[in-house]
Amino acid sequence: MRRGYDVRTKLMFLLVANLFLLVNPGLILLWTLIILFSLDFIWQKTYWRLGLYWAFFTIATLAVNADLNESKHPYLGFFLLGGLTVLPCFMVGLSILRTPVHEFIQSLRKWHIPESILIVFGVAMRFLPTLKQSYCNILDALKLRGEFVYVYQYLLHPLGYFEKILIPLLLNASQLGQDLTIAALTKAIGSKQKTSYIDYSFTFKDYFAWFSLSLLVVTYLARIL
Amino acid sequence: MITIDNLEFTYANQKQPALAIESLKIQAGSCVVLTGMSGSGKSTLLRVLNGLIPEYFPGNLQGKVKINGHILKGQSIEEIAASVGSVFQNPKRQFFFSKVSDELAFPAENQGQAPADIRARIKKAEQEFGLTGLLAAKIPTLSGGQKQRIALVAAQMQAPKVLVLDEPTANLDQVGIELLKQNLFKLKQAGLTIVIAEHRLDYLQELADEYHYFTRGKLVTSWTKDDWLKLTDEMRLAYGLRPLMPKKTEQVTANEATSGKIMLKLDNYQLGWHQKKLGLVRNFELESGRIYALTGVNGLGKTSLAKVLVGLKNNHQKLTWNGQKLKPTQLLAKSSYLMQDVGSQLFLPTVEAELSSSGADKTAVIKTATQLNLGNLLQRHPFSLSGGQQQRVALGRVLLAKKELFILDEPTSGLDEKNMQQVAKLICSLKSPMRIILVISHDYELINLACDQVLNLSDFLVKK
Repeated sequence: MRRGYDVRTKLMFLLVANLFLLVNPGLILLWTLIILFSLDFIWQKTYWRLGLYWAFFTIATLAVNADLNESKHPYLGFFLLGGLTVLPCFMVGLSILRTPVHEFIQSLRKWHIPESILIVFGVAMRFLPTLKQSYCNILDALKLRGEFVYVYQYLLHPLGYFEKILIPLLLNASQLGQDLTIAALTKAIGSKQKTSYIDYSFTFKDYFAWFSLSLLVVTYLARIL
Repeated sequence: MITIDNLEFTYANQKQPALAIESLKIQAGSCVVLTGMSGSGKSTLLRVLNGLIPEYFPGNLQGKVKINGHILKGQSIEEIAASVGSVFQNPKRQFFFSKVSDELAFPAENQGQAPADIRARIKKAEQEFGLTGLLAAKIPTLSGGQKQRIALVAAQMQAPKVLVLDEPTANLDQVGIELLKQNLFKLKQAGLTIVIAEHRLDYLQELADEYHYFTRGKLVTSWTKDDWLKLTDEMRLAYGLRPLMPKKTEQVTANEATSGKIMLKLDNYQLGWHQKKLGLVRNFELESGRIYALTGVNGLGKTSLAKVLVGLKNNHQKLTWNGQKLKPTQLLAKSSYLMQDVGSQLFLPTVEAELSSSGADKTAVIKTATQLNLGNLLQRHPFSLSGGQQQRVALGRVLLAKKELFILDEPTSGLDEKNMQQVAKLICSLKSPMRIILVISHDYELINLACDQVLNLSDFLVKK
């Protein structure tokens, strides 16, 4: 298995990315953060996704250097400058969501996060793809009844959308939740002494990231104080 | 060994006991089949054995149940789970993780087994149960048969003494059932006690040692393997059980093919599922006045083809209706389609409203509801019904629609003999020179009872 950063390290990245979103630390610190997190994509060999992020960051940085700001080009400026600070959060956040649920739960268990939160998170991750499937099936079933065949019909009947699509979806979700609970209970999900067949420990990559992230934050604080 | 004495269970908010057994003994290492019609108490007994009753399904539980000498009462569901593994009906809805090896490790991890032991068990299971190459796979990408195999292997990962299975074959094709059977044999040889609640009984002939028949929560009759095999299929039918060798009945031969007036043809169509190309469909023709069965292994593209025929997927002008090319929206207006995911086809607050929304008049609604054993449930909310009942509501709605093309995708999965026969009758009564009817099914009994012609999708599919 190709492993990049540990989930806990990624969460720390998310925290710093959000901090930088709030305080605008300048291009150098922002790019250091981006490069540090890009290593994760390289270790996991997801180059095309990294390429897309980098293409955007490069264009946005060039635009900032060319003095393309919001007062001159309101929309483009907003999109590029805003994107430069918001996108690192997405880059990290989406990468966390792609983490296998097993790794996520087992890693956070080491931080002694309450079991109830971990299980809710696990079930939610399990829910999303199945709910998406149910949503598509509901739309298909309605089309066969001659309802919501065209997209404009959603706009004409917003209440019908709630009644015919969202309510069946919720009922489906509750049934799915029940089935999953039953299956998980019979596998002793509520037991107290759990083990993990894979050991998700920190590697030198994680120690390096924690050290670098601390340095980034300290540099920023030193600059403003 | 499992011993049950004076067991009685009544679900909370219900007056009648759902299960009452005076005495039942199940020998260690044997395979026992619980059978009977839907709602007869089979699943309730399984829930008592795996501890879901009374912890998850509350109610009044009386009597004594012992597994290997330990009384169940007072044990938590986690303690029971250490000695009882469970497999459920729907393979899509019983997995917690998306990766196969994570799911296999899950019950063993929860029992606190040492990591090295769990890894060794996974390795052993991989070789024993033919999971080579599947451990790293994502469960949603697997076929129904493979998913059910994973569910079975996962259920024995914590090294239980007993396995309980609730209609494990309801969503499986013949290949999937055969694999399940082989793996159950291995588990039985390894000394596990296996308790299966099931409608389909043919695959259990060599495996099962005893059969217990339930009606309205009571254990009525038990047969040993020899006695069971001596019964004739007529006797089994009299009990409302599925025959071991389904035969054509009088009713079908009386239902002669009428000459068709509508001809539907799909040719040169590239069939796909999500991004995957499944092959080129050549010369797929359907004529009205006949009832067709469409078969083929799981994952071949039957559902995908159905979606093209009813207009849910674009046919790229490869479909003709009496020689005329039709757009998907025109096909939608002509089609009535029962999807496999029953829950997403029910929208209205009562069964009656749901059936009436087909445009049928009240008399027809009541008649169909009665035929489908839904007569006394007309005012209930569809989501308050059991899986089998929901299935029949959705089917009733589809059959009542005033359309020309009817496609039913696995209409009898999980139905008992009596309901299956009613469904077969209803499908037969739909036959007319103005209707094309296609039933996608692995249920050979239904096909024999209702269909005039069997089409195997692989005969129409050209793979590059």
